[in-house]
Amino acid sequence: MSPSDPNQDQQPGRIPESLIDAALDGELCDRMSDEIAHALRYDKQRRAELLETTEAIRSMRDEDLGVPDFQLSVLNALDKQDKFIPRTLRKSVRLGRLAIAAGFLLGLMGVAALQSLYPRLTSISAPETPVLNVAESVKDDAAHIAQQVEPAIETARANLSPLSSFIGAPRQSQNISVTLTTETRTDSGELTRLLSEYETRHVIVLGRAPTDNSGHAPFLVSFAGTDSVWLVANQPHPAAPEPEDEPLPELP
Amino acid sequence: MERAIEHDLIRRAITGERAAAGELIRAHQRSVYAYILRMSGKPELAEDVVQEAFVRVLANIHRFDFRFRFSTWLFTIARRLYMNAIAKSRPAYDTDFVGSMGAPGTAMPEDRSLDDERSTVHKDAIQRALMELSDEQREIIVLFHQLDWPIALIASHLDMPEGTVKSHLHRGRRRLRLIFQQHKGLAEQFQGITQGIGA
Repeated sequence: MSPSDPNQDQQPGRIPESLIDAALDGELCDRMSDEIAHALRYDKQRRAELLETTEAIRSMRDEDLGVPDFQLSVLNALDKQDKFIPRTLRKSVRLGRLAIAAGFLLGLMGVAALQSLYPRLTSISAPETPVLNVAESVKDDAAHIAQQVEPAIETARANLSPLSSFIGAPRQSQNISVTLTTETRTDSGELTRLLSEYETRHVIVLGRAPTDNSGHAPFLVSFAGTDSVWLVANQPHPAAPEPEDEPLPELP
Repeated sequence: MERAIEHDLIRRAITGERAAAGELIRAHQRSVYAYILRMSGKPELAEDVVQEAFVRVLANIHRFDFRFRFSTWLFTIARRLYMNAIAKSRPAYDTDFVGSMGAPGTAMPEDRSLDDERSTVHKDAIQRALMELSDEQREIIVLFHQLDWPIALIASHLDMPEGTVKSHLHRGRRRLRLIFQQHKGLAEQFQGITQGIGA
């Protein structure tokens, strides 16, 4: 029969195990504890069990576990994290922290004061300037950009110097007035002459050339100063007459 | 340690006073080390866990909630670190141990002196008995009987109903008694044999 067998508790004169547990748990009043101590004189098996249990508990409590001193190792580990400051420096560190905080606050207040007095002073965005003359501004911007791009073009040309025989010298852009005729539109005559004069191989004409009664189509032609690609002639010459609408064909 | 004194030490540690932190360590190192050592049975592991627990607690001492006990916080951190260490080391430990036994150049138990062995067997009877209990039984017995924690505090620490704590305690105590008697008997037999050899 095992000691924990519940049938044991049924035997006459046995102290219930639950009472022993309660006593060991410290849950019994003094009077009950005295009664159990008295009863244990007559219940040898329970007494033996209780003695063995208390011996095990005492052995556990009394054993010298050889506890190492953790102070040094723990404090050294904490020192590496700057958690503790020596007593002598503590006041200075505290004052230093206060001074830094006060300085920061004063700085913020100063910036706020400046902001209220001179709003533009602390603005980090570019000042807004109204655009007064769009056309002039575009011209100026274009000239400015051309000026900025020029060195890069020069560099590119210098790099392409072995190919100089194939690349013509830069020429100024210019506007000339051309009167396109039927002959011009067949790739001969006036445009052919212009192509030869300006050493240009291609002509791009956008739009349809209007014709007047004489068969001439005056156009404003813009020449760009490059070798191979030039002009866009898509604007009628100021002197050209307004094109007339073609009459609609009669319906059958 | 009285609660008022402990709170004073904690307040001083929060302000960065090293001596107060040292005092807190000295006051609690024995109990927390005993707890982890009894749980693990491995002094090296217990040392590592306890040191790390103190470092973590003291590094975060400004977060301490004065409604609770410092020891409860420390034990909770130590327990978590112990669980993590066990979870990490279990497979490696078993493999290493089995693999190393009998390997050339490794120290076998026979290599130790008989006196050492006798002393260890006698001293380890209770620890061996504790290690044969379930984790819950062992932990509750150590907290209740070795560290004198009340049932309610153990229940809170282990997040367990008080009835369950008591049930583990009673069963564990019965098993501990039986196993301890067996180990003690073995230790006494061993002692008798070694004394016979010595004579």
